[in-house]
Parts: sequence; C-alpha cells; structure tokens
Amino acid sequence: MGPGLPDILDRDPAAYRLPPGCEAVVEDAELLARIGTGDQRALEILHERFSPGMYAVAMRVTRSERLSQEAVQDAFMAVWQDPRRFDPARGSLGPWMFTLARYKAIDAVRREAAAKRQTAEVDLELYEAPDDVHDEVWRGLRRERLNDAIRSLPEDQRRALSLAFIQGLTHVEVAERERIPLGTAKTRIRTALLRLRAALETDLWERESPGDGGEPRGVPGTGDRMRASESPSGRTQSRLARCAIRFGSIIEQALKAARFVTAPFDAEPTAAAGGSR
Amino acid sequence: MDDSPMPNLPEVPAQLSPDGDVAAPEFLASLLADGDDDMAAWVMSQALAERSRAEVYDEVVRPAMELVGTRWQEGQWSISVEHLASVALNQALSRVRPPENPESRIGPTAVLAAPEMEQHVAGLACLAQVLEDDGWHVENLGANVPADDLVGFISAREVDLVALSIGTADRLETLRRAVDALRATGRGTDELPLLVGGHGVAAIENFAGASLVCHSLADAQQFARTLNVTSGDADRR
Repeated sequence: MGPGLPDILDRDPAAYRLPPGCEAVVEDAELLARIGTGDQRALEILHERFSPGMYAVAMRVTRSERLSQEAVQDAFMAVWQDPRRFDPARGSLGPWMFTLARYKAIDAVRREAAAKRQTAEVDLELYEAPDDVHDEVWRGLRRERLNDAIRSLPEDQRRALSLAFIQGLTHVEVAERERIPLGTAKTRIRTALLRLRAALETDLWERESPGDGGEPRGVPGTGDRMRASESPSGRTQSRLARCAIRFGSIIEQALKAARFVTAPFDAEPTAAAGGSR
Repeated sequence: MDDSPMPNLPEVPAQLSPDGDVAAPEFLASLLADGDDDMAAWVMSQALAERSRAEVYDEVVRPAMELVGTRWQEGQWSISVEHLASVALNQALSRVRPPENPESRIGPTAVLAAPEMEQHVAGLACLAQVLEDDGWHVENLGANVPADDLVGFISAREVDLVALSIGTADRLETLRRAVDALRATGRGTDELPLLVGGHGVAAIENFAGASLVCHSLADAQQFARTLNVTSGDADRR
C-alpha cells in the first residue's frame, strides 16, 4: 500500500457519495480485498457505508463527540493497516465494523481516563508536602510560568505536546492523530520541550536577576543557598542549571506518568523505551 | 500489516443520526457476549424505532441468541460467555420493555412458563413484551415450572392464554406432560388456548393438546390477536 492515500478522504463525504444502490454491489470481502491492495475508493465506500453507524455506536460508549470521532478514525485506521483482521467466514462486515468501533471507543475512554488520572497524580505530587511556604510559592510560580510558556508555543507544537503528555499518546500515535510523519511528530514534541525550557530559563532569569534585592538567595525549595561571593554569570548559570533540573523533573514526571521513558529529560524517547511503539 | 501513514479520514458529521443498520444479529450477539446490556438495549431500541417488537425480537434478538448458542456449541465461546449473554439479554430486555400504563393492569391475562427442567426463558421474556404491547396482562412464571404446580396456578385464575416454551427438543417430554396436565383439567382449546413454542419445537408443526405450534413471536402475536378476549376483566382475578 502506497504512502499517498491521504488526501482522498479529506473531502466532504457527500462529494464521493455513491448513487443509491451502487454500494450494495460491492461485497464485503471484495471491499476488504481492495483495501488490502491500497484501493482508496474502497476505503471511501467503507466509510460512506458504515461510519454513521460506527459513530453512533462510539457515541453510545463515550458520550463525547470528540472521543467518538477519534474512535471511528482509529477503527478505520486499523482496517486500513490490516484489512485481513476481518474474517468473512465468521460474519459480515457491518457488525464487525461496529464491534471494532465499540472497542476503539472503549479504548478512547480508557485513554482519556488514564490521562486524567495521571494529570491528577502529577498535580497531587506538585502540591504534596511542601517543604515550607517559600517552596509552595515557588511551585505555584513555576506552574504559572509553565502554563504561560505552553500558551506561547505555536499551535502545532502545543497540540503535539498535549497529545503526548496529557493524553499519553506515543510518538507514533501522535503522528497518526496529527496525520504527520513520525519524524515530524518527534521534532514538534522535542522542539516544544526545548522552547519551554528556554522560555522558563529566560523568564526566571528576567524575574530574579536584575536588582531583585542585594541579598543572595538560594534556589527556592532546594534548602540550600548560593554563596554571596558567586559572580553574576556564575550565579546565573547555577540558577539556570537548577531551574532546568527542576523543570526537567516536572517533564519527567509527566513522561513517566505517560509511561514514555525513564531516561533523563534530555533523552529522546526511543522505541526501546516505549516511546515509539 | 501496513505502515503507510494515517489516511485522512473525514470526520463523521456529528448531526448524523444513527441508522438502523446497527441492529444486526451478529453485532447484538457480540454485545451480549461482552455483557454490554446497555448497548444491547440501545441496539434493540434503534430497531424498535423502525420495526414492530415481534419483528425485532424474531429477526434480531432470536438470531443473535442462536448465534451465541452456535458459537458455544462450536467451542468458540465458553459456557460462561453463553450465560453472560443470557443475563445481559434479560437486562437489556428489561430496559426496552413496553411502558406501563393503567390498561396493561386490566388486560386479558396470559400465563407464560417453561416446563419442568427447562431453563431457557429468553423467548418467554420476549413474548411477554410482545403481548404487553398488545394490552395483555402477562404473568411470566419463568423456568422449570412443574406440571402440577402450573395446573394449580392456572386453575386459581381466570386465564385467557397459556404459552409454554422449550429451548431444546430434549424437553419435548416435559412439555408433553405439562400440556397433558392442563388438558386433564377438562378445559379444551376453546376454553384455554395454549401455545407451544421455542427452539425445541422448531422442527414440528403440530403438538397434541396445543392450539398452535408457534415458530415465531409474530405467530404467537397473530394468534393472540384472534382471541375474543377483552380488557377490563380485572374482577376475574
């Protein structure tokens, strides 16, 4: 199957609607066989024929238009990738498609629930047992800065980051969802992370460096303090390094929660680590 | 397995209403086997919006349960799955039962039962709803009703119709005992109309003592509609 099928189904379904009665002449097995050879038209017919029912099934499961759309997309993706999953000897195509949509809808609900749970856990960790008031203030500041930085990201990067970190998708799944090549998905996520780090570093430096009091302060929450004799550039580097470590820990928590990697923040998620399964 | 990129599938317009094609026996069977009574009920209700209850139960529910039985017989599904499907079906049926109304409490009375040793009662549950839709007051005794007890129950009431069901031909003998016991009370087919049905009688056309051998719920419904009974007989009970 060639890589170029994509744009065919980007049209309004009405644009490729078959004349009444024509759909019936295409038998289920033939339809699947044609999809197996990369026949885009067969996929169109399949979509035209079954997507309303599949969507209705998914809605019944998810009660969410967004998740239902995702479930239907996932189901068609599964058929496109491996049409041999359907065994005509065991039944007809329609019920199989509806069953597939239902399973994908359940997957979508499960994924959504997991993402919510993981987000809640990370939030809880951030709130749990502050060392002191200063530490808590620092955490709030950091969260605020992080949110600002995320909002400043380009839309495509923010979306990719959200899919990977909030919804817990793998890089491959992000690529599928965004309909972009895997490399592009990885680049968007990594670029977004680097931008976030840079934005946070800059922001914190701008807030704390110029004339913010003569008394040297340690990095909040770490329990230690920098020496008064440190040079501004040395202090900056030290502060940046600590900020990066702190920020990295947040991202690592998110990554771990999403079962991405256990590697350090700078490591690119790999297939071996489960990032590109 | 194909590794080509995700096809740009169109979004399904959210305003599309579900069409009736979800009501396929195979799909319903898979839902029941998963114990998803909520969605099974939804599938039935989709079909009920388009067709009569008897048609839906004859053409969707019964084939679905036959499919469950076939897959169990072929070893594809375990007996646990088959039982789960039966329970899910009962729950789904209870979700789509006809709404109660005052007249349903005073309609002519039908007594439904499965004879001794018979455990398959899904057909009776379906028949109960079909009759209730037509204004009958239904007393469904369910599984494994001994013949003597059935006679005692019916003798104590004014009953307008009796329906007995068996799931397999193995129960023909107990069905025979029940029918004979009812007729031994002296009430003939005119006085006590008696239907026999279920998968267990699928291969036979006549059954001595029975008013009719039903091969579908539509058969039973049609027969019941021919009976000269009226509602408003609550005083008889």
